[in-house]
Formats: sequence, structure tokens, C-alpha cells
Amino acid sequence: MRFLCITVIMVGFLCGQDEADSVEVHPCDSPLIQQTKGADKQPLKLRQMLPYAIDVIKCRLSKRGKNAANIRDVRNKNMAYRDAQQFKSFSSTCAYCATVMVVVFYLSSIF
Amino acid sequence: MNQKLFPLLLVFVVAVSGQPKFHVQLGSGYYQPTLTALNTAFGDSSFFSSNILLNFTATYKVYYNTRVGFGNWNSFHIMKDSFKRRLTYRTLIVETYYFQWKNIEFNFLLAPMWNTCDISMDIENTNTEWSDLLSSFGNTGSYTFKSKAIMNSSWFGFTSSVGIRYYLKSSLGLDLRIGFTSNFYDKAKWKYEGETITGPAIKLDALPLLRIGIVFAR
Repeated sequence: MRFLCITVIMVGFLCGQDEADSVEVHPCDSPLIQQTKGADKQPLKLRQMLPYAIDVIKCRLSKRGKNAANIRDVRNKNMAYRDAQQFKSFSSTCAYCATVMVVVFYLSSIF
Repeated sequence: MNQKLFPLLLVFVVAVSGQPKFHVQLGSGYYQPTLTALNTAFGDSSFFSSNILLNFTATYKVYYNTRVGFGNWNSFHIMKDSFKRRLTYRTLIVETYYFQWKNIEFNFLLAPMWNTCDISMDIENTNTEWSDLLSSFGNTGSYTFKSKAIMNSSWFGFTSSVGIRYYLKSSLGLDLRIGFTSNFYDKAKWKYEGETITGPAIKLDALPLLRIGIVFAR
């Protein structure tokens, strides 16, 4: 009976501690996501993979995640445009060949 | 070890967080081969089986304006309890492109092709010898087996196209192309179970081609 009382008190104490310590963390600030970022990033353990995937999905679906994705999207579009707004080196020759072939093919099928 | 791994890791991280380089396209195409000899022999044809291609293409950006990759276009003709015909056009793609505007890309494709046509029959037959053998082991009833025989032919080809791609997002786009394929098909180069035979006189030599697709980039 005494042992049972001690056990109940201990469990109650631990549960109380847990609730007192828990803080609402935004999914994007999850310790697992932070662990995979930065200079001293560390690999995830196998049992951490599922919680990590859930945090990533929650983060992506949150408002903050959507904003970050939009910023990335605009940045990527700008980068792609900057890189390929003009032909470089042999790529113009390839484009010229393809265009001439297609035009000649369709003209020859018309006339 | 870490010194060797670090540059590799850096390249990988840059590739993942940078602009999308790997493009996968799923789509459909319209072309007009003359498959009359084949369709007459089958006694069946449809618009889908004769004129529609199902496309899968994967390319990787290797230079500022250049992507290389692989394409697989298929045309199916499947008849219930009878013959199946599959035309496969495989392409080794070299594609150049440029952005006229931020969302719109013009692309130009040149690609050699290695194409095949397979005709098989997936019909169940009853064979008394199999039934006899199985009944000797105590099994009752008649047993069926499927014919595995296949006739096929392969040939080289070439395709070229010009197209326009509209990016809804940096990782998602719609693609429209117009072009042609040229095929060096020879009806005398068919094989049936390793034996050279004469195949159908289908006409594939110069075909206009229209393709549309949805592009996923990563």
C-alpha cells in the first residue's frame, strides 16, 4: 500500500512537471528541423524521421511556411530568368537547328 | 574524410536549395501514323490507340540554357482476350531554352530515338498435356495457360520540336510543343521468337507531332 502511494505520487509529480515544462513551439521551430539546419547540423536518427516528416509537413502548411515557400518560389523564378534570359555558347546553335528543322518539315508537308 | 565529404555536401545542398534543375514531364501527344495494315489485321482500331501518345520525360539542367534527359512515349492498342500492340518511342533528349519573360520559357528539342513495336497475345488456352500431367498428381479439371509469344521490331528515329512552357510556380509548369518525328522503320526486320519475319507495312517515316504536358521541377 505504501509502495502504491509512492508510485502514484511519483507519477503525478512527473506528469505535473511535464505539463509545466511544455511550451507551444511553432512546427517550423521544431528542434528536429533546427537540428538539420545550420552549421553544426546533425543527422537524424531513424526513430526521429517520422516526427521530423510530420513537423516538416505542418511547417509547410502553416502561414509562415507558405510565406517562406512563396519567397523561395519568387527567388527561384528570378534565378532561372537571370540564368537563361539569353542563349549562351552552343545552346543558340541547338535552338536554331531545331527551329529550322521544324519549319522546313512543316513547309515541305504543305508545299 | 570530412574534408572530402564537405564539398560534395555543399554541392548537394546548393542543388536542393537553388533553382529547380530536375524536370519531370507527364503528358500526352497527338500524331498521325498510318497503321492501316496493322489495324486491318487486328480488325479493330480507335482514335486513342492510333493517334494518342502517353509521354514521360525526365531532364536535368546541365548548362545555363541546356537540359539533357530521357523521354518515353507510348501508344497502346489493347484488345480484350486478343492481341496487344505497344509502340514505344524512346528519346535521348538535348534541349535548349530561354526565358522570354519570367514565367514563360521557349524550348527547342533535338533527340535521336530508339523505337520498338511489340505485339503479343495474352489469351488463355487449354492444353490437354498440362491437364494430363496435373491430373496425374491428383488434380482434377482442365487447366489453362497463357501464350508468351511476342513479335517485335526496333528501329532508329529522330525527333525535333519547338515549344513554350508556362511556369505556374517555379516547380510546376505547363508545356506545349509542336514538332515532328522521323522513323527508319523497315517491315522486313521483325522478329518472332528469334526468327526474322515480315511485319505489317505501317507508315511512320515522317510524322507531325503535337505534345502537351505538365512539368514538375525539383
